[in-house]
Amino acid sequence: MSDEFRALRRSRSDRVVAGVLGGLGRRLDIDPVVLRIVTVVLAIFGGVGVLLYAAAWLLVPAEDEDGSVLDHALGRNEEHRSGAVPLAIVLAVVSVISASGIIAGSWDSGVLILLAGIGLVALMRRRDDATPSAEPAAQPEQAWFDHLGTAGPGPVSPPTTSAPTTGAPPGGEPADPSAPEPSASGHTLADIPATGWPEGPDWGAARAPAPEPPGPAGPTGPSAPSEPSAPRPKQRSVLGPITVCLALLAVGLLAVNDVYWAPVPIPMYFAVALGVVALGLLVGAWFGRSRWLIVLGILLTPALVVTTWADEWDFSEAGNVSYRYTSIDQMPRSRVAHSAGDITYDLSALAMTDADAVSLDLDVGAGNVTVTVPPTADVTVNASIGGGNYTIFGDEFSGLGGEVSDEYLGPDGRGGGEIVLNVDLGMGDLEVTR
Amino acid sequence: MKRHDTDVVSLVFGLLFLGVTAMWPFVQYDIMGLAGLETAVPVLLVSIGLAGLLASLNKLRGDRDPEDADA
Repeated sequence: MSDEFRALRRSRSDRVVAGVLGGLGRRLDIDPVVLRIVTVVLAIFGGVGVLLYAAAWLLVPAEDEDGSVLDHALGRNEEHRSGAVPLAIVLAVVSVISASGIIAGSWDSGVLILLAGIGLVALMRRRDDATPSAEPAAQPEQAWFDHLGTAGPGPVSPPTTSAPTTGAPPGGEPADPSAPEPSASGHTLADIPATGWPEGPDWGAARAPAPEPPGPAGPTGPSAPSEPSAPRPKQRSVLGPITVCLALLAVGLLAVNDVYWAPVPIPMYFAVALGVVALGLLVGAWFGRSRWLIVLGILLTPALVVTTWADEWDFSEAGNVSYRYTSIDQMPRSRVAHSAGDITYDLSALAMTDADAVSLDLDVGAGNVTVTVPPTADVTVNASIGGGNYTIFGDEFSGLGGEVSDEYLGPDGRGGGEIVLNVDLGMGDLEVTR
Repeated sequence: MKRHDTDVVSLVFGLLFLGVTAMWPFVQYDIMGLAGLETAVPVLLVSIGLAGLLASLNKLRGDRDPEDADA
């Protein structure tokens, strides 16, 4: 059993996020699609899927590597790879958050897990982009520099995330010494087989007709290399992972605060995460590189809008309601909020004298609002409708952003009581009749 | 991390998301109703658009001037 587990590998070819399920599916001879659906369902209901997936990503090595992300981060294998550290931190944070979310089991934790998942996917997309393109490009470049004897510590640089601290110097600096002596290139090519590079001849052949592949450093000229080689390390910027970690941290602290001290509104989770992402992007405008955070921001913005809107309403009391008032004393004194449904206020039998004045304040999220007023009352309507139609004593409007602020006298002119109707309707139809 | 040329895309989206975040508490706590939002959103978009435009133009000028490009 433990051997079976040890033989488990994350698939490189059959992957959606990190190849965990592709590898598992191959091992168990199950279609990975089935496993994926199960994991997504487990992730939505309770977050177990996210926890298990993050743990597997952390612990199961990829096909072509002998150590897991955790091994690499802790340096348990031969070499310590600093590139694995941010990923390991993120995965560990995701695991902790989803584990605590599962324990807490509240709706908020679902939001947290979702956020963590979004962060993970964004991180993975970036790694995905970096791996196939950077690996083949970096390898020859590395060999090239090694061979020139300009970059001793070269081989450590991993082609993945955030190596700038260790990876950048070998990738970036050596470009300068190598470039000023283009004559040396022909000389060194001859030496390649001697140094044990089996690809030696291919190398020479590939280099001669197409000098670009080994990187912009070599052939473009003595003065150019430092400039084009500069963007390379930037693509492995730590800024993005740092921002995601900070966002997760902030959201996590907010959740702790929510549970133990003051409750916070749900949209605040998205607002805080979006704020951190925004700051990360702003830093990225001048330092490092973090454009992929835009994806996170684009996901978080509608989430913030929707939850803010939903937070205004208590959907537990959604439904169709109708009220009938016959005396002014029965009327609600303060603003009445309805989340959704058909709302009917029947005031047609409201007993009013000429001197009476009442107001009805309605705040409706979505639905159809019908108000019937006494036949002779004078009505002032102040209504604002996000989207929908209104019919107010024959005045009609349909579309977005309907605004009314008008006084409608009864058929008897002034007199018969005064009703002020303030309606704030998000989406739906408003009808005021006599 | 070394300072690099202004990345206008990051700048514009960073400002946009920051603006949305900054507006949120006003909406959440009913300080600025939907009517306020109708003013705030266009102001935000126009100012970010101008900022992005200026940054792009600045960059364009920098690219043309070799001394600036090196710096």
